[in-house]
Amino acid sequence: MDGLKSIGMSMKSQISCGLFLLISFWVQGQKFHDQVRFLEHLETLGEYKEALYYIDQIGKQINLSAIEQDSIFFIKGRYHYELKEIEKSIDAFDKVGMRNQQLFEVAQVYTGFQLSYSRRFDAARRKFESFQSSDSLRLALVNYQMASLSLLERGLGRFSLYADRFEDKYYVLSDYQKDMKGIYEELKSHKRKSPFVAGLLSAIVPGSGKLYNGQIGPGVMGLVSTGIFGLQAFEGYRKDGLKSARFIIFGGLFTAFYVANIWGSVVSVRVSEQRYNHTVDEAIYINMHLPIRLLYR
Amino acid sequence: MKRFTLICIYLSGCFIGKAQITGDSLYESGQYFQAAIAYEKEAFFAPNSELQDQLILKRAYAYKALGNYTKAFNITSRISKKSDSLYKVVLYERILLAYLSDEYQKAHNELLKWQVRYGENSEEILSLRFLTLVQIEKMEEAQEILNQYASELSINQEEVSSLLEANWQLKNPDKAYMLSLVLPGVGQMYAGHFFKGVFSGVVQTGLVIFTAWNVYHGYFFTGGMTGATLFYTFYLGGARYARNLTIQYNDRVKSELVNEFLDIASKK
Repeated sequence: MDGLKSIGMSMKSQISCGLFLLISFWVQGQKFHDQVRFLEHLETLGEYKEALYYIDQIGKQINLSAIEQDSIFFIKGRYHYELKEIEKSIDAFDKVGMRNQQLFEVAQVYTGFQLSYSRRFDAARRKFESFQSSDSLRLALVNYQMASLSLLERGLGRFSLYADRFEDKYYVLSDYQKDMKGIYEELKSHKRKSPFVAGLLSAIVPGSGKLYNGQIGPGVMGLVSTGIFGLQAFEGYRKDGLKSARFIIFGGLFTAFYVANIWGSVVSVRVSEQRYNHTVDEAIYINMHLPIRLLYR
Repeated sequence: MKRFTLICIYLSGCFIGKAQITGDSLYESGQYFQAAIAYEKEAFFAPNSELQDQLILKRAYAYKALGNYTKAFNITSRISKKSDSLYKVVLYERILLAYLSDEYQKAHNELLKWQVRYGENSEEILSLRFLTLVQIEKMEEAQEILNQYASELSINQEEVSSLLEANWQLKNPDKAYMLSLVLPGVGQMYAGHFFKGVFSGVVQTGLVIFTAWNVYHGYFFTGGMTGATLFYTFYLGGARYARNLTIQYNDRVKSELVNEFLDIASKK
């Protein structure tokens, strides 16, 4: 009897033990689900800093499976991306494993774009070139990213190679592909202005180098300011002669302004060339980033 | 086996215990950023909107404790304010937070809402109204509050008169600008900087003499270009400088009044 009793007891405790384990697993599963829902909520609020902190807390509380860990790294990468913390974002995306093929591939696209954005072109190209997928849209997206990367490097010939593979059947991509081709045409027709010609022009007629660069206001100002000192120096020379203090002062000022104007024309051509490149790069970045965001946000 | 069961119970108990770190406990231990997240989470899973509103208000407190007043203010905008008692608390916070984030016009707007809805004047509200009015340069209304509500503010008559005797006189920046245009240097003097005014006047008179001397002696280009151009630059620049000096002067007057008021209030 006692023996039976003890068996009964032990069975009971086994059941209750199992139940507790079950409850604790259920709590954990439910909890993880809730935590993900809350994360999404933080994301809609735009609270990426809070969300990142919260993700670390989840990692500490629950033993996550490998697949869950992959999605956590993926989400972290995206949040750092939203906060424009490129290094941390790349770091997190790199940790996304291959268990979930889709996450892995999208993480690579994000990394490739961010490498391009931080102007590590070689690393970006390697990332894109090693990309493999069975999904034709993703392949088309990577081809588009490679084309854009070639434009960032100003490899116009390479761009046309990729652009030949552009397809119109993906409506998410087709508009951006058209825009990128527009940028290509713009770069192709862009005539670089020569700093030497600008300097030479300014040496002949002060200010004309800036006019050549398309800057009407500064060009006129250059002519007027140099002219003002030239006329005053002329006045000093006419009235007081070559050795007068007046002629020496204004003559010196005139020379300084004349030389500075030549130098200024050279610099202004370089600056506007840089500004042009910067504007084009910004347009390329935006067109690279938008389809990724549209597809995988 | 029994022991194993107990261990299981203990473990799951631990697990549940861990989940009960609340926003309140984090807030009390000074971990405001973590508290803000916990409050947001509690609000997200709150069973009813009333509780949700309270928790979002607590979240705003957490950001207030972190010194991020603008963000705290924006968080209060998410509260639906259905219950009247909560509405009052939230409105008070919004006034305070707007003031703390240097958005005085916003604070004034919230104060007007308070007056329309409640009309009552607690010590805190009156203080905030006084401070806000000084900051948006409505000096007469601020003085009126001192005269009318001295007892509510628990300020005695002596302190009121010492406050009223302080410098309340603001100066008009545009007037300083115009004065300097009429007679260079006078605008700076009006703003309280006598020697800066004299210096400005002397420089510009010198430039006028330089121009006149050159033109008189037939150096028309030098007189017309160097003299007149420099004079023109100093003339307009001096007037703008006089305007900026006046704005700085007004800021000083306001901050002295605010500090004196806060000194008196903190003595109690």
